[in-house]
Amino acid sequence: MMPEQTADGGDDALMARVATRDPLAFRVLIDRYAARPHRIAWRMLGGAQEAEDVAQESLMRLWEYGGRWRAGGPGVAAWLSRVATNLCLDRLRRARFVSDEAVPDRADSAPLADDVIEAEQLRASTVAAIAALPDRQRAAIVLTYYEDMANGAAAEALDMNIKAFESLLLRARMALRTALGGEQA
Amino acid sequence: MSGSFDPVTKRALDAFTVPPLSDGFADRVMARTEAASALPELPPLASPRRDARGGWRRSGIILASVAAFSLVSAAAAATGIFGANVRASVRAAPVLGPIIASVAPERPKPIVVRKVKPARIIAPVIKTAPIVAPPVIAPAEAILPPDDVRREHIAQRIADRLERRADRRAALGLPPKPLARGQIARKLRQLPPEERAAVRQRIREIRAQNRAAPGGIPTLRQIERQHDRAEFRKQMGERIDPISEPERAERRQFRREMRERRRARQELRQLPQN
Repeated sequence: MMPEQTADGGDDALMARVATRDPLAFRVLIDRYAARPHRIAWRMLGGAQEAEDVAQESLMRLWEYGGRWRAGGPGVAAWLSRVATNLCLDRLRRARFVSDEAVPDRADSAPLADDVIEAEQLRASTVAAIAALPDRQRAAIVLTYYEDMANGAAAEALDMNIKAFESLLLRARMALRTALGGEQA
Repeated sequence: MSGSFDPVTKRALDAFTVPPLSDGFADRVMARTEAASALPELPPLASPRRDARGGWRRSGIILASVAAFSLVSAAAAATGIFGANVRASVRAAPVLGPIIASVAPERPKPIVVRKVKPARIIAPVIKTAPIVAPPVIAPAEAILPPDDVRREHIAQRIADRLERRADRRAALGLPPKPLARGQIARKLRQLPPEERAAVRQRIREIRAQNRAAPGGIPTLRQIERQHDRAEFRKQMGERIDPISEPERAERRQFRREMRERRRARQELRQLPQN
């Protein structure tokens, strides 16, 4: 897993052009950063359609936000990560409110058929383990492990202070280790 | 970040791969942006009518409040709450004055009677003529009936009441209620002196007969007194010196004199006040 680098010196210039409703500049931003909200949404929500919806919604917000962009900030990647994470948390909250479908508590450890390849088994177990995490713990793992964000940036994306985020991340890691059968800390 | 997991967990986490974005994703986003840009800008919303009406209403309320407050203040000033000067100036006002005068006519001034302090006499008083005593004013008691008349009236009422009570007892078949010692004494005092003396003489004779009779029936009082004396002697024993006969006679004489004096005072009290 090689996440994209977020710091790009051209972000501010591109956003300045987006503020003038330049479609070409926005197209460059899409090509460069669209995968990030998609990945976050996929791992948070666990579905292709919803992941694509979240990615589109995040990019549309970036288009509308162009006029208010402040140069010298953390960059478009961090901004999109924050927006996508909050959109995912909103969807999870709304889904829990509307649907009474229970989220699996633990990883599905049932052995699969012998003919299923090991990688698929491992992937399914990991997906189930991550899906079983509470929403914010899941977001903490996705942002720090998969998107390789620093704790400070991830805490900012989740509107938390750094101490609270670190505590959240520690709980998420412990839960994952337990679920995936790794070494206990 | 990935360094904080053990290899087993890290391997499992890395297995969670994400497929790439579908083809044409960027084109779809661009289409949405173009559609959003193509929408005509909406004209600004007209200011709601409620605001305009509310402005008039607010102004009306303020004006009415100010007018009511002014009228109340002017009426209060015209009635003299803020003093005579303000009152006069308000009544003299060209427009307000007639209105207030028609609503609250001027009341006549109350007549204030001030107490005049007597002049302090500094010079010495020279007596040139003998001081004449002021005329004697008849006391309030002179209006009321004399005491003896009142007393008679009260005694009559008490006697009537007692008589009615005795009649009621007789009607019920009860024996007449024996008079108390105080009532007997009161009745005795009300008798004329000759009759009273005769009654007393008769009482003495009866008492003497009772004492002389060897098997005379003692009264309850006599029994009680004898019992008390016996008890008292038993309790005190020899601590009390027995009274000698001359001393006892002296005491009897003293008590007799005191009785005579009391009787004389009572007779003197019953004489007419003139």
